[in-house]
This record gives sequence, C-alpha cells and structure tokens, in this order.
Amino acid sequence: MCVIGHFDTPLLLPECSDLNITFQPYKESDWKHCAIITNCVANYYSLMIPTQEKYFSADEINHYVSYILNELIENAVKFRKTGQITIQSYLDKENTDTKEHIILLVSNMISRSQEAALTQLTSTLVSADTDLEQLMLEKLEYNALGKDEAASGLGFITIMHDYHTPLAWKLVPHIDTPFTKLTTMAKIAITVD
Amino acid sequence: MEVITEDYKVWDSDNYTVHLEGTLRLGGSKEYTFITNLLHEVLEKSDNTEITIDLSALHFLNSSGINILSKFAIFVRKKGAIQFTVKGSTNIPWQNKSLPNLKKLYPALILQIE
Repeated sequence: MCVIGHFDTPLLLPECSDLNITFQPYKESDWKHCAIITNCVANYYSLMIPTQEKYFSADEINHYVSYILNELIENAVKFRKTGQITIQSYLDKENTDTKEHIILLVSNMISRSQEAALTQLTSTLVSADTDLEQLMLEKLEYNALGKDEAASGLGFITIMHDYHTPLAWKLVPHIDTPFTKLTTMAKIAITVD
Repeated sequence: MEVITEDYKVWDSDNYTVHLEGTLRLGGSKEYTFITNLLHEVLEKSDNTEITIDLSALHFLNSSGINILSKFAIFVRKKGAIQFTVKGSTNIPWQNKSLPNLKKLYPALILQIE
C-alpha cells in the first residue's frame, strides 16, 4: 500500500458515509454521466449546509463540490482500467479542529504501469517545497505547446490552488491481478477561514 | 457561428465577442476544438487587434476548459498588441477562483469580473 498526502480518513464502509454511488462508465468519454452524478452529490450537500455566517453559502458549496468532484470523476473515467468507479462522501463535523469539511473519496482501478507517473505527480503536489501557483503556470505554458495535457495534473492543481482543497491518494495493489485500487480523497472546507 | 445544446450555448457577436453560456464539461482539448477555432476565427476577423470572451453566464467550466482559455491567452500574449478582454460574473464562484490565473499568464489581459 502507498499513501501520498495526508489521507486522514479511513476508507469507509458503505454504511458509514452519507452518500455512496457506484457506477460503470459505459464508454471512455462518459462525461454526461460524470456531470449527472456530480450534480446529484453537489445538490445533496448544498442542502446540508447551515445558514450561519461561519459557513460558505449553499450556492458556493454547490459550486465547490461540483468542480472538485467532477474533476475527480473525470480522472477516474479517463484513467480507469477495469471495474466500477465508487464515490463515497460524508460531512465531517466531528473533527477536533475548528473546520468542518465535506470528504469526497473517489476510487477506481488502475494498472500497475500507471502507478509510477501518478506517484511522481502527486508526490510533487503535496511536497512542502512545491509552489503550486508556479507549477500551475508552468503546466499551462507546457500544455500550450501541445504536449500531453491529459496527464498534466491540471485538474488536481486547480483543486489544490484555486479551491485551497487538500488532496491525498491511496494505492492498494490487488493481489493476483495486474490492477491497483486508487482512491483519491478531497477535503473541502465548508466553514469560512 | 452558434452552437446550442441542452447544456451550453456558444456564439459570436458584434465587437469581436465570443460568448460561452451554461455548463461546459467536455473531455480534453479535442472536444473543445470548436471553441478554440471560433476564438481564432473572431481574432482574425478583427485583424488581430481585439477580442472579448464573455463568460458572465458560464456557470461551470472544467479544467480542460480552463486549459483551452489559458492556451488562448498564451497565444494572444505571444502575438502581442491585441486588446484581449475577459468578462465574468462575481456571482459565479469558479470565475472568482480561476479567472485571475489568466491574468498571471497574460498581464495585459483586461479582466472584468462584475
């Protein structure tokens, strides 16, 4: 098993999360289903946000979850090698720190050969030495040269830089198969500051 | 040119303006080609002097879409001497978060988020 970033939530049993969705993309570019699922989860959580000053508005939360989850599901569809995609989520109000969060966990199977590039990219993203803004601008300049943007990690970088949302990754090899289960975690703050 | 689907509407109007409305969550640069082509077409129509992209009714844009806007901003920067304006809305959260990045790529860009 390999963990990158601060993966501080257990992989959940289905009955422990607020909302679970498992689906099988019917084609490689199944963006329409990604959007439908994203909207469902975003609408679900926007109804759970208290109308108090310390919280972002329901509309803001809807937008944040929409952008972040859509990026994670699109990645799962793009890089998945086999099996279903699972989305688990819950509202984390029991954390001892003052912040409250929506935790999103998106899982899919990748091949062993995809692990090295993913580990390298994500390790850079979570490194304390990385200037995310600088990295984002470099990636955009690089993509503008017509390079392989699909694997550029721009979605991850925008989530971390523009939305100040930490990401973490867990890779668990499946014994006796050539596949590894990848789970990406996003921790979206619902409180202001 | 005008493209209307149940999710989005893309068209160009007078004053060399390209409008993007609705929700754009297409997969990668390939699926955004029609927008990239329209941007280049409108810029050429202005004899490479000006272009405006109006995003004030674009509620969602994924990172692939942000990538094509960034690519275009870099293209305009490299061409030089073009008045490039991007209009957005403060009511749409992604725009407050991601559009300022365009200005970092091209400081001369006129960013109007109102």
